[in-house]
Amino acid sequence: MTEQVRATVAQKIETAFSDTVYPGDGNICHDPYQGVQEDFRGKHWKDLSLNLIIRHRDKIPSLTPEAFHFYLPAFMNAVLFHYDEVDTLPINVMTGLTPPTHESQDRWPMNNLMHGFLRNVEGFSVQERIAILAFLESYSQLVPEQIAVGELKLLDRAIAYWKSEYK
Amino acid sequence: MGEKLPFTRCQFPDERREDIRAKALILSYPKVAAVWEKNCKNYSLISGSITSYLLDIQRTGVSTPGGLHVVLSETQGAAVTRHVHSLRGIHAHKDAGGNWEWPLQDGLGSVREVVDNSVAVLESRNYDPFGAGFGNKGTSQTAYGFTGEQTDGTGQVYLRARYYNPSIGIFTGLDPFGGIASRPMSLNGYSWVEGNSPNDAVGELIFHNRYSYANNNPVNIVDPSGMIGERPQHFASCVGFNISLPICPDPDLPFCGLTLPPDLSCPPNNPFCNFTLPEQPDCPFDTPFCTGSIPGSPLDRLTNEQLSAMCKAGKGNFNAACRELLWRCNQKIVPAVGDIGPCIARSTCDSTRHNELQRKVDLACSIPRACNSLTPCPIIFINLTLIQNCLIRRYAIVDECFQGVADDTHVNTIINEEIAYETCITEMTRTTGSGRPCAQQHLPGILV
Repeated sequence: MTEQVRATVAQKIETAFSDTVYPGDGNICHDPYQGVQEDFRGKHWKDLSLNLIIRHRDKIPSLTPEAFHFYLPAFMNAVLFHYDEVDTLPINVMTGLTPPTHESQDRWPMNNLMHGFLRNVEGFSVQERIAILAFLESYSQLVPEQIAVGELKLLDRAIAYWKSEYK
Repeated sequence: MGEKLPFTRCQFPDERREDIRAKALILSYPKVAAVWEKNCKNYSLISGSITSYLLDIQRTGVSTPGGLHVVLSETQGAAVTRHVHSLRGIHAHKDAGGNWEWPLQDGLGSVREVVDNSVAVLESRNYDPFGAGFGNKGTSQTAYGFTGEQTDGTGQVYLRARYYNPSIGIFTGLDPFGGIASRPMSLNGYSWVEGNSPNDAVGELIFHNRYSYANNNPVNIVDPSGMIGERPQHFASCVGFNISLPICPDPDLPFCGLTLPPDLSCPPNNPFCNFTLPEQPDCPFDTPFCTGSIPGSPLDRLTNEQLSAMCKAGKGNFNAACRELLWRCNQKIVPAVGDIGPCIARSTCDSTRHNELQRKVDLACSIPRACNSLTPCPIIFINLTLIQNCLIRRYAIVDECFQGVADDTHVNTIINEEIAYETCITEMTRTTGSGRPCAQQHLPGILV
């Protein structure tokens, strides 16, 4: 991936999410035991340090829909610029942007996985959706020699979903 | 009639199974065959061929300490086939021709592929949820199959206490395990309701009986003892790090007396080494009826508002009320977002205990464990173990603090981790394939 493409996507993200509303101090994480609430409280997505993002790379599913919306650009930027350092973050971001599979829903029949996913993504504006799609479409170019097969499968499903939303 | 392990086919009526195990420690088939023939005259010997088995009875399971014996070698005439077992299950075979073959297993331990020393795939297999095979390719190389256990010539899986028939999804004999005193229903020989008991077509609750396999939850539970379901063995400890053989049946076996090189051994500061699962809660983790209100229960008569008040009160029977409410919420009996708020489970652990469990999760899940296409093979193996340990801790919270019924938040976290696991599995399969970069580096330092 050329630096130019990376910078273009980052610019789209920054512009699209520039007016996204902070979720509120008490509305960041569903789970009070994970430390996210304390670490993210009062911080703009642009102010999250890479260390903080790495520390909470597994906590994306615990974010409230509003916090997911607000902090998503920080996670996407970390994947764009620090792919080698952020461990499982790319997979976690990708699954956060991908509708649950039938297999997942069959396996957890008591859970409203699709409902939760839709609640997470329903608040995005058109500009934000375009930026997310640009991020996803650039992802496979990011470090093409490193992308794992499992990630590509996720990526295909995510792109299919966001393209259908965009249209 | 199958040709494997015939002594288990016909139980000796006056002897406990343990005695038979002991007798079979160094099993000389002709000797046992005589006893067997005497006691089981209605059974016919198989094809006139005699096979001797060397067993290791020191194996242990999660729920069944001791007694999960495994076959180390089979001798038929001059031909000897040897088997190497790791904590993860069957690990390798040396066939009568002296060729090594390596089974590749999935999360349940089921053998999905067998490769030779050059990592060429000799066969591949698929299973339906209850273990019946389909779409197999290549010539069958091993009797080890579903959940890593032996399948005999009749297609039944040898699970030690009993044979299991995967084509119909049940055991062919009654569970010899009497039950657990603290679970009265388990003492009933004819109904076992602690599994997931869905309603049948007319709405009647289907009770399990002691012929059912793995609580009818075969995609998550295994039953190597034939007596009680448990999680797959590889979730139990620091798996994959110590695969030296405790008993060395043949000095030619590459694992005899060897342990993995330092870079693959369990890191000294790794907190997960020797970690064992917490005591299995009464309710297996994804079993809907464990926390659902069974018709007639006292909570079933309360309104949503009454339950909500009890749950929020945080005292008395609030745990059960919260669970009932969550169950109704997830069953869409009450709206997902409404007077009781979103479907978010309330932890039933006190904050100290929950924080303690969360710290364990943070420890286990903070170590880098993602695989990509450049990840070296040994690191993939380590990452797989790290992911397993992370999952173990996450399930521990779900089990202990949410009575096995996770809310969407915890479920999604677990799904993420499982996708990371699948990614590592995929990369391992891809990179160890014939002609691939890691083809000759499978378990480096071990293959000779």
